Amino acid sequence: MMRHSALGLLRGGFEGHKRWPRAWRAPEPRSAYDVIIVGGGGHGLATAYYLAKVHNIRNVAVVEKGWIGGGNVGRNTTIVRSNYRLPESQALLELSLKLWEGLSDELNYNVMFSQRGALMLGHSDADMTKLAERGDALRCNGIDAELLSRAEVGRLIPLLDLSPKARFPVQGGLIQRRGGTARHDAVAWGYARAADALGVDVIQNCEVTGLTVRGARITGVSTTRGDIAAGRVGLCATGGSSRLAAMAGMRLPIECHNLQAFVSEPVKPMIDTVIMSQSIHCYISQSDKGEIVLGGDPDYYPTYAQRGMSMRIEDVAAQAISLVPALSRLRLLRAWAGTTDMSFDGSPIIGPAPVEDLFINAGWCYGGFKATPGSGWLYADLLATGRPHPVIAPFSLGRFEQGATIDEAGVGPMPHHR
Amino acid sequence: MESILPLDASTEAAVRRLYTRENPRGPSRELWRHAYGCRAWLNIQRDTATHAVLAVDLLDPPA
Repeated sequence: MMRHSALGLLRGGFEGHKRWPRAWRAPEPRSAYDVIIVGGGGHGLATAYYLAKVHNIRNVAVVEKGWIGGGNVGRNTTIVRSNYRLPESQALLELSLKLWEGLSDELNYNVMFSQRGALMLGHSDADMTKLAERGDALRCNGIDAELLSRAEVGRLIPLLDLSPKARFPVQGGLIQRRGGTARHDAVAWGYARAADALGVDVIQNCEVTGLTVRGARITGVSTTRGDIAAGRVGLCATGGSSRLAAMAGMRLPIECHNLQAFVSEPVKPMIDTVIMSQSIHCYISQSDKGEIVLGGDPDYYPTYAQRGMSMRIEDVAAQAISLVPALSRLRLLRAWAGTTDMSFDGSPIIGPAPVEDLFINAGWCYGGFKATPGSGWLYADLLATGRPHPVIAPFSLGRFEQGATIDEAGVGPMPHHR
Repeated sequence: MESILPLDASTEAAVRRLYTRENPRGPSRELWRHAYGCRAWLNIQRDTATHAVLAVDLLDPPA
């Protein structure tokens, strides 16, 4: 791997950018690996990297049916934060946030992690009470949270509609200043490049068509590029979790839905924090390219189509314009969607599967991107030791049977929606 | 309640019935309701990858 540096960039510029080497190899799959990770998304690639870097387990393959980063790591709205409500979620995401904070240096690749703040607006007394409660819970667990007044929110986002005629009056907000955004594609590429440099085989265009189970143990996978034996197999493919689990005779508490996102044409900096809301399901940020990135409610029906209903475009546009009227003058450039693994309590499923040496990482609903480094680090720990780290122990597949659901939304054990 | 799950069902059966989903990528059987129209209940077969509607039946056809 060629180490990136400012000098290297300068030299590359003078050379007309003609001599950059491949960022990662395109190896043929070998006949066996110590660990096979199924799914070359953010989490899968991060897992491979930490297996090699932290545990010195380098005889690892990541098998990806398409191209790496073509799944949800390339389709999200780039928001990073750890300000969830429940202590289990907070521990998981805070571990992840701390890894985000050193990630570009760690990977020698600029993931453009910008800690511009993640702000949740409150529009009513009830909203502000809930935000204060969340803030208290975060502070009790050592995570930064600050309750902001209406005036403070207005200074942070000058273009927010704080007029008496505002459709969604703002009473204040809760901000996590260490939260922000990161360049999603760079995360996939950074981890792939770093893992490859440590000897991990990143194998694209390689779809898993079967899991080989002998007795009670998994011994390998069948793929479109041949059979590969494995010591351990980690499933890590959102949108494919149920299909893969079924290959080992398992059914998961997961239903795949759709989440859309949108970007506007690029404009000069106008919004320099991440705007979310306690009540409104639209969220707004501005990429470093200048595009306004918008998201909203999921499409609440089973689908793998990765495209959503036009009603959402209207909803999100209406909500965004109500919050920041200046957005009405922009043109929408792109709309796309990703398949979300919706779990029965809205929280991820990470842990051993009922088949020995098989492991599952799934069910991230619409909150997977922010957890990328943490999920990778913890899943690598699980694949290396065979035992769930205390931070992921609560997220076991067996929690539904035990009634120990991690119910972020506070609506009970049902397919998660707000 | 009994129509969803017998009260003396095993834990395994209960978890299977209440939590697990086949989650097919392809043809899927669904129950729809024409909420803004005639309010009829419909058995629909829909492809979850392409959104094509493959078959439609009234749940309770008129005699």
